[in-house]
Amino acid sequence: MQTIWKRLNDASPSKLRGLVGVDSRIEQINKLLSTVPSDVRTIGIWGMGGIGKTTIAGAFYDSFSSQYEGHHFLQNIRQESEKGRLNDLRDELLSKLLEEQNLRVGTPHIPTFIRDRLCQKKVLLVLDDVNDVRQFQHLIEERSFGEGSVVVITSRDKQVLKNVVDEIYEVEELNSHEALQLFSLNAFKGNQPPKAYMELSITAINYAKGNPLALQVLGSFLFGRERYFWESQLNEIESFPELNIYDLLRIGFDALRDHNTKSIFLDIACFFRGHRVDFVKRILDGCGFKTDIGFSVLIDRCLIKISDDKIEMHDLLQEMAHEVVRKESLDELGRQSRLWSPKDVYQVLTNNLVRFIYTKVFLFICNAIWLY
Amino acid sequence: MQCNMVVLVSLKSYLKLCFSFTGFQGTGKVEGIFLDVTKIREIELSSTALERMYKLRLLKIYNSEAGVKCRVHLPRGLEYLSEELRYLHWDGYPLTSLPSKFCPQNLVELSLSSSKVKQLWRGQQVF
Repeated sequence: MQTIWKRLNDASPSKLRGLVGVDSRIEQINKLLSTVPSDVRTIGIWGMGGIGKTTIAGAFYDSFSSQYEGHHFLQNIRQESEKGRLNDLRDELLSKLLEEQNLRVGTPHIPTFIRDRLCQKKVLLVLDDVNDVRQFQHLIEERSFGEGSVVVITSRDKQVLKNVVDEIYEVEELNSHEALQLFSLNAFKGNQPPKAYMELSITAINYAKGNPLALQVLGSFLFGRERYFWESQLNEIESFPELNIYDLLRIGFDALRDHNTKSIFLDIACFFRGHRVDFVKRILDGCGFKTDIGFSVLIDRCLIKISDDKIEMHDLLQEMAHEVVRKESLDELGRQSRLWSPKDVYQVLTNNLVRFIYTKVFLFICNAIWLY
Repeated sequence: MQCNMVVLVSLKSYLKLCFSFTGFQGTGKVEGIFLDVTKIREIELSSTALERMYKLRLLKIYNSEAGVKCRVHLPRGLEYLSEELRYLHWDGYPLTSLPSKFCPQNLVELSLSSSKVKQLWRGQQVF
């Protein structure tokens, strides 16, 4: 039974899940790893947002985790660290690697007896989205793992990686062949565009510059649309003076058109990322939104994902959504529909008083004039 | 007489214009506020801090770090909470009850952990 499971695990899952270009990138990572002489090897995966760092690290983990005695994939480290949850992450990590439930380390450093046990184990560990050397140091301190262990770290910040890893793998953009394939998977649910759409598809792909996230968002909002819609949208994209990836993602958002789905997307981006689906659904239903339809549209458009019953979204898409809300009003925070940054909330809640008094005085004067 | 009317009408529209410039509508557009109090430590708010946020439907005031208890202080109480509120989460809510004028008819989720609340509402309750 175990060998069958292992064989199943070894079969490349990336092809089954519609991941394009991942296998060749994993191969390159393996090549890099083979050049590192140390007992415990660390490798960094570096690249711009949306380029597929997490996807590649995930596929690498899926393919090889069965060859290690202990393994774990630690997600969203930057986000969790901002919430002050590094200790919880470390507990989760140690519990998984040592296969002990609810391991709690209260001390700032990992106790020696735990470290001794870790040294006996050959592990595969993925640390996803690290943006500070201290996170790395806090989570694994020294590389106290058994011989043959591998630690994979993804980050947008090359400087951080330089300080902690043996080798850095820079994720390249998809080449034109891969880009066309990924785009077609989303735009036509097939590996190739139909002949009539070939030229339009190539135009679209050129805009995305080999960025998988942009290709997915662009492809899925063009899915099932008429030719004239494609033409008008692509013309609009062409009119951007300096097209960047945010603009492309923004087009995916604007194309949602109905207020319901847009509001749901913005609420998730500003408030509910990483929350449980049923919880978010209850609240948004309460707000009068058609949440079921909204979720399914957003999933189809590659704007949100649901994994482990939680709502997730890509960092870049969240940043784009924040930008949308900020642009609702550039001059005054109170005219923004959603406030999430502590500094902004502080300003609005404390300024409101001043404005309130100001308005009262103003009204009083107006009344006086009126009566007069 | 007619002249007077013209003056009155123009005065009215002038006042309307003034209102919009003074920010009379001010925070009327805010639909959601999430505040991680850990990030700003202590904060003291006036009783009218949430005044005129007519559209506020999501309000969460919380401590992201476990074990840290940073509070929002309301030394003069709280007068207003929007009727549109669907989600109210307030860690360490400092008062013994919610605003008396607050009508919770739309609320779907209420969480007031480690708060001082004794009685949620005074007066009439509409559910």
